[in-house]
Amino acid sequence: MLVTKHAAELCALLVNDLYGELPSRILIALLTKGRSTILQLVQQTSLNPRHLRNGLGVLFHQNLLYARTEPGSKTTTYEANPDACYNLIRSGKILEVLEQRFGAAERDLVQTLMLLGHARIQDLGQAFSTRAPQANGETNGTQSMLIGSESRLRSVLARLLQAEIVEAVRADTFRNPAEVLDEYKQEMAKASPGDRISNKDKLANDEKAAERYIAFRDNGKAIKRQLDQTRGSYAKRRKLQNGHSTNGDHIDDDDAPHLNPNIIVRVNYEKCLVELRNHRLVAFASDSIGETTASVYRTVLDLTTAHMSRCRIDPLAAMKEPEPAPITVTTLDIFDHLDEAIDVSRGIGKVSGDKIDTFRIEKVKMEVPQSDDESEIESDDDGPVPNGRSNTRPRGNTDQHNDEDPFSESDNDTRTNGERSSRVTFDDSSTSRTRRIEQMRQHLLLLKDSKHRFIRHCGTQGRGQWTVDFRLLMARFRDAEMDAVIEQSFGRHGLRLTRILRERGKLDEKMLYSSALMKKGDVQGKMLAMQMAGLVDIQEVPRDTNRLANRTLFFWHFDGDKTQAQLLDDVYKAMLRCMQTLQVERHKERNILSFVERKDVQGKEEEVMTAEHYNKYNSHLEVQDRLLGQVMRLDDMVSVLRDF
Amino acid sequence: MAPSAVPRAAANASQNDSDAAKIAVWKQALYERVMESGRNNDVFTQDDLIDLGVIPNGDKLLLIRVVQALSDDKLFVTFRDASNNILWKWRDAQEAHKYKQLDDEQAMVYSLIDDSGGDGIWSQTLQRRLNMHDSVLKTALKHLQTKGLIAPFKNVEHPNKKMYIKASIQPSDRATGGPWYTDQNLDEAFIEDLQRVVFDYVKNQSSYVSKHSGGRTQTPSKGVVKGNPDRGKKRDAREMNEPPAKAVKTSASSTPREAVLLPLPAGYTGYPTVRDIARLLSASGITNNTILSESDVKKLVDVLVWDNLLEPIRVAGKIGYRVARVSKQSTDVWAGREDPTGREGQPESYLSPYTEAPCGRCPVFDLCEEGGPVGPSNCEYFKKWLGMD
Repeated sequence: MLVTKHAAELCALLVNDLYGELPSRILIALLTKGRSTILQLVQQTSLNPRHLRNGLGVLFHQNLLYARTEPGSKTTTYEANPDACYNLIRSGKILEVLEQRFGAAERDLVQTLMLLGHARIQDLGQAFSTRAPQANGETNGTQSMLIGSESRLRSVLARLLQAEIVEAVRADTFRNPAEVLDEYKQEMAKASPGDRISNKDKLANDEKAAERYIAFRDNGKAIKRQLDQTRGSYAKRRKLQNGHSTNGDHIDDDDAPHLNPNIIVRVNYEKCLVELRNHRLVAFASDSIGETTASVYRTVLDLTTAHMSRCRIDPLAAMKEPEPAPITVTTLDIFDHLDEAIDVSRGIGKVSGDKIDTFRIEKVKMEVPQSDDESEIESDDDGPVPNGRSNTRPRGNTDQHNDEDPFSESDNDTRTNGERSSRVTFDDSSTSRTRRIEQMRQHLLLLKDSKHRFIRHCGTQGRGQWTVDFRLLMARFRDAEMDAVIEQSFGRHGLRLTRILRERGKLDEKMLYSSALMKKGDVQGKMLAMQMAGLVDIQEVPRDTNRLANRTLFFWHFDGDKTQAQLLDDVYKAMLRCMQTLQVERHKERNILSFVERKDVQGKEEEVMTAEHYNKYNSHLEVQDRLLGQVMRLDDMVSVLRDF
Repeated sequence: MAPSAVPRAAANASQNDSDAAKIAVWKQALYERVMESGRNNDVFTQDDLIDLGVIPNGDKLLLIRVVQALSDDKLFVTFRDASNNILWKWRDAQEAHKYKQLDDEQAMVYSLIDDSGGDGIWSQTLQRRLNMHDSVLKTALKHLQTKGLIAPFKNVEHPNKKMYIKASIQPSDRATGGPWYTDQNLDEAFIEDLQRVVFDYVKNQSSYVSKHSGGRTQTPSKGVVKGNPDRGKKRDAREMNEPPAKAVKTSASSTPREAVLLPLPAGYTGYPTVRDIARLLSASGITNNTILSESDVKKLVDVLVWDNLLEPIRVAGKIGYRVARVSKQSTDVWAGREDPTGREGQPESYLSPYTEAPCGRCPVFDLCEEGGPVGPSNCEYFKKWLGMD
């Protein structure tokens, strides 16, 4: 994989921050020079081989390297894995999301795995058994939250394995996937007879290679499949647990599966990214619609992505792996998994029933939309409409209900209150349930109706089926991120001009300022500034062969992909600068920091330090929080632009 | 020979007189028929003219003489089409009178200006077309101007060109730029104010004001989840037993209740359309002496959509508009605020983390390099941002 200069520097800095200077130096050499043997590395880094091996060992243990030993020779080549290096920055976020989704024990295990890089299950057991008594003694009441026993560890691990958060490691996991695919291709080419290979054969060969590659890639999931068979699939268990929602967390302690203690496991970042993406999308939905709707969306996303291994199709396997069929969930499913604490009656305004076009909103779109154009708004595509009456009747009920109370604020208040009490007493639980389902459905419809089209209504079973078109949704999300950057760097007018160019394609200046309702001079100034920044560019089309300036048409155009790539690099650079600023700050305060690091000072800083130093230390912590927080937020952008 | 020549000439003259009289009659008749049968811009071929039935027996010679006479009176305009057929067009008698007062050059200049209609014509184009000497053209133009036949004017599409237009007609919308221009200048203040009015209107029509802000936390999005200093530390396990949503609610209800906007249910049909907005604008009377057509309003709304402030939505077979990011918008009005710096009531747009930190707004970002003239170790902007000034 190619990385830009700033990305490479950022990776090196992260490794430096976490694992010290030696691995970082080796990593820089690997990133700049590409695949190298130990001898080459010795030359490039001027380190002695013993140090070098130590450094490589650290990198290798943290999965930051690709390594390959040619079968014939004894030499091993090493290659940096920039994606893995970058993922270091996300550790905290991943842990947070996992804790929300699975629980403290799972988070604890993943955190341990992150520290270790990869570990044998047996070793993990030992690591936790030494910690167990301490944990037991401290928090007796919450024992079930943490891993206290071998069987508990196994069940937690099995859960994570089944959720694909953790995967098994084999020797060839450390090979560069692109290389593996290439090798398969070469083998296929060798196997096919004749020196001239037709295009068709080549294609067939490539497909076979891709198939083998997929098999290679999914090898690590064998253990998951095995567990799925013996324990039932993860989704099923989840559902079961939800049935006993109060103590769902530790019902499976007793049936801890047997796991081969020699299996080596590590964190599967690809799946973690899927979880992070859900998190991010929920925040996005909350931003564009509202919080209650976003929490409904959270449930939809959790359900649709349970079996999704990665955010995007693996480009290497794209040949043999078609876009996976969208996973659909029904309204009832969503309702069953919806957190009881969410008050779905909130978050949507009220209008009288006759102002709602039930026919249109219930329209079902079976097909995955191919492209993301505005034409959808223009065209009256008459998708199949569900046999409307049966579907809209519950809506009619709520409308009627709405008509009864004149939607005054106080009324609304009492209504929600009354509903809450009814939920507690369960006197008319069935009606409150239908009403709650209907209210939740309103949020789903709102998500569907949004500009970003968060979900798609794709069927009528189970009170409506829903799915998420991630590829298109993420493209819209990326555009939104880009729009925000453009708006804040070039103002509303800059955003307006680029949006016009995106919608209409290449445009003459005259068209531009007449559509944007801006002065010619202002447009020229803005466009020039944006051209300098590389957002827009100009194309000359001569009207005749003379190529005179006044006989030439000048067209502005906007290159979204290029802008995104550039923005991504700029974000890397901004992250890098934040981290470097942090280092500068640490260097400035190095005396205080080294003092604080002493064992006898840790934990009682306030008593030991002078007031002046203590204040300085605190303000340094503030600065650090600020900078790291900013890095995390920038990482959110990187995820959206690059990974999701 | 001479004596006989006199009466013949006289006879000729009398015949000419009677001929001229006859031609004058036919001239009048043909002109009137042409006026009746054609609209302003209709052109006539020779056959068309004969078909009108004014000239007896389809006498082509006579027709030529009549048409010639009409052309001399400037009542007919002669021109050729692409395949070199001769065509005629009639001209208003009053106009023809104007032509008659002019000498050749002036007439040529005037006819070009006349042809250009409401868009006007550039003086350079005149010169190129007519191939006249500069001074001749200038005197001709001056003459025409003093006679009050043409007037100089400015075209918004070519503000630097010296344009002429017939004095008797109004410049076209294209030349004046339509309602968005005042005195040939784009009226930005007018447009901006109208946009605010439209935005406020659409915001009101496409959202629901909720006075009790239970569903929404009032904490800023900045640095709450992502930059939380507690994130690395283990939280107390007891915290997990408390439903976080509830905690938020109580804190929100203890703060003074602030009105928030909520989205309307999906399928709402009352989102304003361009027509509704146009009606509002004309009813409110803010566009006092400018008339905005529906397409003008559409332009205005389009711009707001491009600004990511409004979004189109299909309602009941037509396109309605609603406000973007409804729950983040304030309930204040945007229009009519005096202070240009105050951001009250302004639409809230999605903030990018990149541009919030110093680097995203750094003017020397491209130069920034460790060890260079500017770099992380001597960055002024970071110092300010971190409050270490």
